[in-house]
Amino acid sequence: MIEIIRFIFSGLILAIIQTMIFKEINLAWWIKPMPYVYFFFLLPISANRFGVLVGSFFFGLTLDFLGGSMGMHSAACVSIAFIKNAIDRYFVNENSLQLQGFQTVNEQYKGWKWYYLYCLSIILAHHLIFFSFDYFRWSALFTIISISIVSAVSTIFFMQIFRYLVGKK
Amino acid sequence: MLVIFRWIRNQAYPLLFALLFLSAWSQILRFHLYQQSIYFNQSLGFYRQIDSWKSDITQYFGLREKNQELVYENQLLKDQLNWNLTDYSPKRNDSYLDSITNTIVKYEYIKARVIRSSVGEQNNFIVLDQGYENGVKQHMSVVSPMGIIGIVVESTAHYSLVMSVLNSKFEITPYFKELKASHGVINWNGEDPRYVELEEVNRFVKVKNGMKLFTSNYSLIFPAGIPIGTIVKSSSNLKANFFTIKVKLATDFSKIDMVSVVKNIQQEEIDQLDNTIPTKDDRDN
Repeated sequence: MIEIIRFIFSGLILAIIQTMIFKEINLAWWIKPMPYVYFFFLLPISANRFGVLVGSFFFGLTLDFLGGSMGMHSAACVSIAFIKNAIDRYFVNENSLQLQGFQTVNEQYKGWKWYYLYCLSIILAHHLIFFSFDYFRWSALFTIISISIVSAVSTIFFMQIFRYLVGKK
Repeated sequence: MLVIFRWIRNQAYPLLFALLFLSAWSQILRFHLYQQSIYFNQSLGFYRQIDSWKSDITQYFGLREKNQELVYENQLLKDQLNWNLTDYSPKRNDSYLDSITNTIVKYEYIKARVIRSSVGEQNNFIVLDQGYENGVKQHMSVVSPMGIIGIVVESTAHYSLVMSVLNSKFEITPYFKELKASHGVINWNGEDPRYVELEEVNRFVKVKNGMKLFTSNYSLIFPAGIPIGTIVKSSSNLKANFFTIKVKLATDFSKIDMVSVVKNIQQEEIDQLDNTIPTKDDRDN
């Protein structure tokens, strides 16, 4: 129970940081970092997937309410919660992760290179979904792909800052 | 039934995902004008494509009727030639002169296609594919080859909304060709889209079944002599002073396709005259 409250709390803080800081700073029109995706890396790998799905929908809804982009973040978050199952199954062996005593995926499990590939695939999927809703036309396909790649890299960068600020205990 | 429940239980996770995703999707389409316009334009284009395929096929079946309509319209136009033209006045240079008959043309016709129409509601409206960029404005009348259609109530750049005769707010006074007089008011009671009611015709007017009704020359909106319909049933009793008359409409509203929007060239002059009439409020003051 206390775990769930902690996730709700951290989700709220991430949503507020995203909408108050990262939505407002304009690095460039083609860099739109969305480090709130960190929320999905906080969730334990063995969490109830129904709960994660509903929770990520409400997480996206909170972002939309705060940022005034009704539906976009919800759609991206719900999709990423759904797709994350397949990505997890491809990258992570749940049993071996738990045998090593980890609840969440981290770089100590299989090394930095593997960890960044894992992060990048989830973040890229999220950004592709989000920006295709944002641009919403076939003629902008190249823009969507390039903007997703650049933003994903910046998102990973800011996410690492989060991890250093919060993760070290 | 059990199979369905079992299927739902097994597929609960993808179904829950689909539900949440669709709700997010509907929010996007509802609150984002840009995405909404793209989505609805695309789907509208899709439907229009299907519609054009459909009409490519179905138009062959209506060729005989279309032919008859054209013959009828030609007949009507010949009849109307004298109604439509006012006297020749050589002193006015700015007037719109017809090159063949050398008379002033009073009405201009704008061809339009019906892209949406309904007959099943209490207040039926029709959407035309011509707007104010093509010259369609409010209060212009709309006619078809068969008879009257309605009045333009709103026009955007490329589309216009027409209040059809099958609307509870539509009223018109018909002209009896046989009696050479105008009597009563036509309106629709909201029941059968083929028939309208003619009311307020005095009991002493010699109304017969089969009489043809046309638009009268009193109307400022409709040109005179456009067919409205035929009387099919008239009844009166000694207590009432007025007839109850059932009129079969000349226009089949379920089949309208090409229509003409009628533009009165001298509408501004009529409006000017209309404004000088003292209304009841003016007199009270």
